[in-house]
Amino acid sequence: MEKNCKVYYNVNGDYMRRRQNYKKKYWLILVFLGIIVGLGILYKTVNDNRNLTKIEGLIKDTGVFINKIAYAPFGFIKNKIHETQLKNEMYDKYLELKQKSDNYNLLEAKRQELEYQLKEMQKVLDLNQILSKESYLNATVINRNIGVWYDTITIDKGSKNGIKLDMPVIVNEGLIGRITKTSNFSSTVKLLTSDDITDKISVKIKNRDDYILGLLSNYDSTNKTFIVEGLDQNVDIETGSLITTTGLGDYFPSGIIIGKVKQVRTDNFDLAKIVEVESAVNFAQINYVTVLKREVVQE
Amino acid sequence: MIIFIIILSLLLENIMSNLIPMGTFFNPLFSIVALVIIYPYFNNDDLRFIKFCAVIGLIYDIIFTNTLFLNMIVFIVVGLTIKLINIILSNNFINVMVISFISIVIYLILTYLILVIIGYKTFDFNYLFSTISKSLLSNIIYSFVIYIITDKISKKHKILKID
Repeated sequence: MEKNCKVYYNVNGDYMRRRQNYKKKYWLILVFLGIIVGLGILYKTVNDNRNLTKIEGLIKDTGVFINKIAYAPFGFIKNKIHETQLKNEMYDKYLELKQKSDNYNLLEAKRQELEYQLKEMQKVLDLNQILSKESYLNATVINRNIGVWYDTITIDKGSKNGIKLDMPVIVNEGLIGRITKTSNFSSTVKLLTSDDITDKISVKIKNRDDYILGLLSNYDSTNKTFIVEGLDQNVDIETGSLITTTGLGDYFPSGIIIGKVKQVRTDNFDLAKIVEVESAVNFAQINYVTVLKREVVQE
Repeated sequence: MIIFIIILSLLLENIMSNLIPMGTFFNPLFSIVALVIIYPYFNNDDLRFIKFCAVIGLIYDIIFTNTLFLNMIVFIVVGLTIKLINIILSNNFINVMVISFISIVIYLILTYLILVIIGYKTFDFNYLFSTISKSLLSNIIYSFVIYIITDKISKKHKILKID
């Protein structure tokens, strides 16, 4: 009897242990599935192509408005300091501008001539639409890279001001990024310095009288240079050559400056050239930007 | 007091990010520091504290980063860490600075790893390390200053908190 009880106890104990193991396994599978589902949701929400919902837009606009009010006095002081610095540099600037203004008439005459030639050519080719008619919208930066990793800035103009997704954003020195999110009164600009590997920009490098096409693939944060790839090994590229957008692709119109060639090197297999591009834009301190509103104009 | 610290920190984080150039040794993450400072004011009501972390994370997501739920999850993890460390450490300005240090490191590593896993960023250890080192100084100074100010206010107005 005692032996039978012991056997029964052992069988029952094994059964309980197995059941606990099964439970543990189920929990592990559930946690694993939960992590995968969670990462999937995060992938969807972090993605640039997601539009903000109305509630999100409302909360964001309210938050941005409060932040704008809170920042206003500090911004005022910052601008005053900047103005004083500019005043100190004014005489040097005046001399520089005077020199430029001497050439103004010459350049204006040349521009008018080129405009006339362009119109004549359009007539000859019977072109009735121009793709790159642009209007400009100036905006102030109200948030800069909060959360550290995202390489984005928020500007104080939104869809109510005519801003749409993927519009290019520039500063005086060149291209800085594109609009990735809009709410009614604010927009998010994704900077070119972000290492989003899915975004490659088609660019052209001025090489004497010709252009060489390449792809701006990523940003080297250590050297603070952009990397242009997809260039033939046999082409000669001079340092200091200007790099602009080609207009090929979905986002950027032709002719926006990106930077100048800093260094040319070959890739690890000696099959293609890689160009390091130095931008004149100070990405660490962007205060005002211009959004290019691209339109198709029927003539 | 809790609401005051949170609003002040969120506003200051925005102001400082605009005043100081990006990539310098002052990466403000004041909202994380605020979580460390407010924990004693919950008087061991941990569930309420974690819920509060989730709400702050969600607000941070919507207003600042457009990344719905990412900061909410990370803020909850940071909140749990703060709760666990507070079991071991008492509440004084040195410990607050230590907890702020740990919280910022956890926040940055966790967000970076999630962004790498979902393909938003490419992994670069040097970049991660330099960003963490750049974020510590200003935030630890802020934790010290805000602790001193709030501690004096709470003593003056006899606001209850655990020590």
